[in-house]
Amino acid sequence: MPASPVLEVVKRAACVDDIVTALTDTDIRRLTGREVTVVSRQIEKVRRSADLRIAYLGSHTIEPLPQYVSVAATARGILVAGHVGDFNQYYQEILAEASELKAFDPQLIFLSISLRELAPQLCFQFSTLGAAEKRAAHESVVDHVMDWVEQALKATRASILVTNFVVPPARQAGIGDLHQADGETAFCMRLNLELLERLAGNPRTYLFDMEGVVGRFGKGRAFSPTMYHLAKMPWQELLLPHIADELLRYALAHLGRSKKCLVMDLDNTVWGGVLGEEGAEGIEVGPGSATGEAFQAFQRALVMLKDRGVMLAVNSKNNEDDVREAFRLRSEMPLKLEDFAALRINWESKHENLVAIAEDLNIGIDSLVFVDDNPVECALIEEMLPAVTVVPLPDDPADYADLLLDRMEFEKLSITAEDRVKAKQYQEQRQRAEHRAATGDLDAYLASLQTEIRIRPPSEGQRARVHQLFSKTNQFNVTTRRYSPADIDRFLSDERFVLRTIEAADRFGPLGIIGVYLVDLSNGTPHVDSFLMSCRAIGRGIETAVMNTIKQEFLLSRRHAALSAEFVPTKKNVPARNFYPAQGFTLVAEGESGQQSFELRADGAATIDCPHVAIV
Amino acid sequence: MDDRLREIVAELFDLEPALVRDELTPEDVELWDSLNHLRLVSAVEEEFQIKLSMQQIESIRSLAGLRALIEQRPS
Repeated sequence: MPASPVLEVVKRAACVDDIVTALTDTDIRRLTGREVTVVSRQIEKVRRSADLRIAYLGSHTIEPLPQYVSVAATARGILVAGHVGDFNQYYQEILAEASELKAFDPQLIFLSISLRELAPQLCFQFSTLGAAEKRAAHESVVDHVMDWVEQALKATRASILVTNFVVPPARQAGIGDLHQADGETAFCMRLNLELLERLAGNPRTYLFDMEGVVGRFGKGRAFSPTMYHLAKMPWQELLLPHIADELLRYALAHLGRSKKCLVMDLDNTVWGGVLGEEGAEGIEVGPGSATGEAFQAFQRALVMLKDRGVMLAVNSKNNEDDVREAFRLRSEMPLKLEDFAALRINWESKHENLVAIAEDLNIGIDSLVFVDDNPVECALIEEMLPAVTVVPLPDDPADYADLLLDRMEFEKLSITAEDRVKAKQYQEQRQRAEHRAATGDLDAYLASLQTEIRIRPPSEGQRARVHQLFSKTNQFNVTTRRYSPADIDRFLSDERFVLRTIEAADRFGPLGIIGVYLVDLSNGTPHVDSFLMSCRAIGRGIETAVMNTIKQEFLLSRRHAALSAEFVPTKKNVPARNFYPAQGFTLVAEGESGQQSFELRADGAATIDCPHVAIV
Repeated sequence: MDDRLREIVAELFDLEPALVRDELTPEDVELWDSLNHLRLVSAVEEEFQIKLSMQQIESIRSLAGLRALIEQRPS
């Protein structure tokens, strides 16, 4: 038996970190089923906690999918606890008052239903069904799934992933099925379309594209009749790592582990050739040559990521004037200089530039993904800044675009209005910085910004943005509580909670929703449970203006005698450390892990002057 | 018993290799359910480069039965 080095390390692992290290450079898809079983079992033995609880329910056998998910997630440093419902018991689990599912309290539920169990007549006698029967079958399938989803939303706090149906590769009517507007293929696609539409409106329900996963893997080999007949397991084991990978996309996004900024090298990365040697007219990008078209496709992919809300930045050894000229002269390039939120074009070392880019954008180093064609630069960054995700490019530029579009780091559960205009907002931010440098005097600068803020309860459509802020804000965040969409719904429907969004705008344009706070009134004394702001909005007094509003509402109005608050230190929330003392709160207790409790009494409370922020 | 078979069974069913004997049946081993039965077969198929039919898989009632199928393979 060929010895598997990973397996040997994992079997001896005494703690989770050892396993994470062993798995980091392993291609999970190359592990055999047996290896996955051994590794996942070892993870269960040494794991003391879980970052994410996932429940797996289905109309067919789902094991051993959770093992694959656990291994793939651990390789990315995420520990998953799994609960597997009994075969075809998904409905009972959700209805039973005291089910194991409810006790497990999942954060994600993966529901996999196949038509074979749900509506066997569709699978085996489709051609005998009349139009009315097909319509009735369509409705009954959708009703069944949506009814289950409704029950699950009520019974748990989880976000729910529902698999769509796989359009059967072997049609009962053969190719003739495709010549019928109400054939089996059309029926299945309509079901999938309706599921997508019904699930899209709710920030707690998501469609899981099983049809897509199976299609990419190969429909012809995805299903194993042997597995199905003997164990009611429809999938061939080789498909499982692909399902696990897709699920991991949702898991990473749900946990807010998505990366925020993609930092690009330029020469032989964004275009072919070296600008300093070939000149602006000589670099290859655009129609005319296959290489040029490949770089054009790559640039289009970068623009797509930008439109998804990923910030782009440049980290290139070049003369900045040459680069500006190249973008000006080669205006046919899909990428524009304005698409980048930060530019570091100089002869400094690339790791120093990466640190500067993170500072420019007010994000952590670990939110950066760095792409370079030069393996030496890539290795240097991995060595100097291990928190940065490094993507080395393959030899063939034709492969660049798909490589990047397929990365898990850029997945988002939903795309908010803020995401679509993020690059523009950062560009405005750059103008603000330039304006500030020109103004010189900080006070005069802040006054000239003409900042306005609006404090409101979030509308239905803004809940996704609120969830995004809760899950992604690391720095100016006093308690870093990662509330789920279900928690947010609960806060908004329970009058013991006051949840508000902070929307800001200034002379350079709208900044969108840049902050959230949550006041908990359930213990009588109002308690500031969460207070967080996106870092690009810090430093102009908005946080003070918002706290003034809170003081006004709860203390100065004489409604309450005191306001309590807490600060929970993390590695990243240093910018919020001094927030409560600066706002006049008194420290009343300090825990061993540095957790601080604050109080502000009505008789000592006063608003703090912040002349440059208007509340509208 | 072939050491390779012993190791596969020990790993998949989380047993001490010394406890892996010919007489083991699904009734003796907690993890030996219908799904793990299939996964045992897949691992054996891969390791010994054989392909078992559904009926052969269903006929296996003990490790001895599986071993017999492995030994039947053309060499």
